[in-house]
Amino acid sequence: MDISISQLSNQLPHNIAVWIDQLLECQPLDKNKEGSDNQLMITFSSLPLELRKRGYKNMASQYYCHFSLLDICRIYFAYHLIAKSTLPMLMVLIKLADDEEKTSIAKGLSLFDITGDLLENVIDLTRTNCIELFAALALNNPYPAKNFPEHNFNQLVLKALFNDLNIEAVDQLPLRRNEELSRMVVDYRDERLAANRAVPVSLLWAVSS
Amino acid sequence: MQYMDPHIHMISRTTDDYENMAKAGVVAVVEPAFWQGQPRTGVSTFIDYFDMLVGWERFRAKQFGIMHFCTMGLNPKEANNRALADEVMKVIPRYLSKSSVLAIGEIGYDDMTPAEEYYFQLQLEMAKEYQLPALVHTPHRDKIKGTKRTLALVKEVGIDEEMVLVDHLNEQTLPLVKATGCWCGHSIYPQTKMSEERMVKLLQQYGSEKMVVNSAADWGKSDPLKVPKTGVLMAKSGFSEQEITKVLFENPINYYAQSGKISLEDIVKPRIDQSELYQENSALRGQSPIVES
Repeated sequence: MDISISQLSNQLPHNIAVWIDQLLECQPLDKNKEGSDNQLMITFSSLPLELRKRGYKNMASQYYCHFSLLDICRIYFAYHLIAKSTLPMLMVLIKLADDEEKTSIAKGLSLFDITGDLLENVIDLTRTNCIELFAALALNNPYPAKNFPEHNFNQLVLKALFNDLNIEAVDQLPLRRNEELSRMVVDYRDERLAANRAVPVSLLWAVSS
Repeated sequence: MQYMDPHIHMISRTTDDYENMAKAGVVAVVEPAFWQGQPRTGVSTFIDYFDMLVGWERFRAKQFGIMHFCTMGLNPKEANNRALADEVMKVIPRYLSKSSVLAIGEIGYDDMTPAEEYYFQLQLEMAKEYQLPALVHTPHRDKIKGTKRTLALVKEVGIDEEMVLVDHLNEQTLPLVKATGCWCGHSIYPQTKMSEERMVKLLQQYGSEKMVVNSAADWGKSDPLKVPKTGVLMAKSGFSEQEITKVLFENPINYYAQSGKISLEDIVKPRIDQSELYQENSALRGQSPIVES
């Protein structure tokens, strides 16, 4: 499901968008400047507290499509950060963010990284044990289908099945099906059956016809 | 009945677990080095972890009447951070001669990436060079392919198959390993991996030769009593005490004894002396120390 940054930005209350713009204006954007990493994270991590202070209490609940208000704020912040500076600052953000913050960033990846420059970082993120973060990367997210090589895409789908996620929500899966993925999910089905465990219904979605 | 748990991550468990394991007959454990639930960012955190495996955790186990050993290695998940992995590989050798380090592990595949294969191969070669057993983790996903590639790599490196234990096997992958000279490890979990019931069926079908059972308990939902619980079910299912002892005590010891650092005779419940301290620290919190005569 492709959503544009303007569609997302339009969901932000005007005062919040203005406030984030002001935060970014004050943000040191040179990665090599001492303390810039810390300053970036202090600002980014303070978003929920600042939202709360402005009266937004349910900022983490679903707000627009599968995004929360907090997700949209973080994505808006990250998008404008990359628009104002260079890729390294976004890489800093991805490296230092906690899992909850990474989950928001993951949902907006296809908006920041049109050319796939963050691919290796994103593949690393898929190795997480945090289900929310993994689901944000794997489901309703155009980034993997657009950028992942076949091996990594297949592993993503298989890991989603392992975590009992509905792979029908993996973006563009019908277009990325391949013989190796079919073999992997059939092996997985056989393993589940051998262990007398239920086979996820959505598994067939990954099998090539 | 005496048991050894040949794969358990005690650093994540409580002193209650040690007490319950000792009560259930566990006299020794082997703790493989592995990842910590989230990626580490520097080599010094690996060093501190490795030091803890040969230090504080060993002491803590003994305080409750359990012998503690470990294996050292770079786990497959963190092999994908190549810059860090190279640094970790440089420090691993310094631990390999220590008396409580019985093998290299757990190593193997996770996502089956080229980086994972590179460090897996390097560590198999290291095991060969240091004449240590290698404890191999098979991947949770795409397990059959991962097991086949593991066995192929073992052959390619030329390490003696007798020195390799291939772990986390199931109904599909056990026959692949049985066809080689490698040892066969099974991790009994509350839900995933393998249950006691399925394990007993595998033992009935394949016998006890080179068969090893562990709990692989860690910081996730797992059960450090799965080895004794498997023993109880084996007894109920008609296995003799001798057969149970072979699978749940002698086999894992004989596998790790290939390190030259332990033997069957060495593995006995240690005398508890809770008045001892480790670097001035005690595992007690105000309790009267138990001191066995």
